[in-house]
Amino acid sequence: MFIFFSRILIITFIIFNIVGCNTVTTIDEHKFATNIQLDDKESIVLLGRRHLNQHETELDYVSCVGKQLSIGKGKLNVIPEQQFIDSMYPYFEASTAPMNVKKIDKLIQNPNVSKKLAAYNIHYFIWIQGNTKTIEKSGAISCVGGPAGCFGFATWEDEAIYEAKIWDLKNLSISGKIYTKTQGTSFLPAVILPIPFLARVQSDACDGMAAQLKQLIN
Amino acid sequence: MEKLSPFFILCCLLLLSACEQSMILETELDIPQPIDTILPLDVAIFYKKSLREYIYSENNDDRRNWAITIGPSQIAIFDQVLPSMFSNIEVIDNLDEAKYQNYNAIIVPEIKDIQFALPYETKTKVHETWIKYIIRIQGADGEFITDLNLTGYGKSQPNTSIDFLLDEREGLVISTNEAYRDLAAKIIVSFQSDPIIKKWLDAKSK
Repeated sequence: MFIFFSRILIITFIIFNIVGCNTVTTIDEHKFATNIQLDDKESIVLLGRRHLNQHETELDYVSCVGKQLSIGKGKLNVIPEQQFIDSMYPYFEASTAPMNVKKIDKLIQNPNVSKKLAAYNIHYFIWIQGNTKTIEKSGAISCVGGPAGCFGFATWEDEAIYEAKIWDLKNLSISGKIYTKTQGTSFLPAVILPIPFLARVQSDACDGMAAQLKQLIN
Repeated sequence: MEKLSPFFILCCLLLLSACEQSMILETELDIPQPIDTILPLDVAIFYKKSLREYIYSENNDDRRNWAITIGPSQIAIFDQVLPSMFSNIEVIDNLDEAKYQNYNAIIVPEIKDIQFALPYETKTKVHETWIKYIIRIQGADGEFITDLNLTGYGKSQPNTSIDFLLDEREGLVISTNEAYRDLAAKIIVSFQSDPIIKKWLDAKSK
């Protein structure tokens, strides 16, 4: 009996490793400026949009993109989001942040704001809007006598949609936009023990966005 | 019947009170130092007793013996943000006192309403807090200038230990402090963008 269940478990594991957990990422890019260049001493700041309560951009997504941009080949000077928001208080809070380039023009007329931005040597603001959601769920798992006696199958599909807008602080214009959409299906088969096969939807969306931003800003 | 000792009765009372669900919270302010945008005005602030001693209380089947001390944090909000907004700030004990001083304006803040939402009520993973304020701006002689109606909103992040622990206190402390932060930001920005205040400031500078 034990050998029979072990074989089923191993076969399930192999099948889901081969066919399961794939993600598909689509990236779309619109470049408005001919050159989106950043010199060695200049910085960028990535900020998540959080003015719509149900559709807030996750803090960990913004920090993931920031981390990817600040390492490896073609790395950029990225100011950490929370550090920037705290130091610019109260002008970049969820409810007070500028929603368009015109508003930032007005904001930098405040000499103390302008001085702080100059100290950071920011050339580009990158506003990220979007989130990751589960869009479909099916299947069921029932457990009897704790997790060691489970049987069933559950699957769910996650979708990550994010848009990044690049604002040029020096020319007060929009330089480019990147749109990324990632979908992936996760599985949770349970034969005695539930074994999750998770699709890396948000982290694939993060990798895709960061790679595209690196290519765009040079 | 043998007489019960006072110590035994006290222990029983302590045990009984510990069994009853209650929420007694004192909130504290933790917001960043604002960027100075100082208007050249002499301003007085009058904290009503109802604001200074504000305690949110509720007692029903879902929220047993809730008592959340809000007042001292409100004073701390104004103490922290007003010096970044005006060249001179003074706290006054009564409004009559202000008539004999040369203040450009008097600020009288008042809490209108406070609401809390818990994860099981909203079917979300976050605790939420709303603080609704009316901030009256008036001249030293009592002349009405405007009322700013502001709402501070805050919520706890879903990816904290609250998710698993459902610690009511921790969730409410985080969401209330976020609401204070939002409120303080709106106070500062409203003074710079409210059309009636702008008009009043323009008239003053002429």
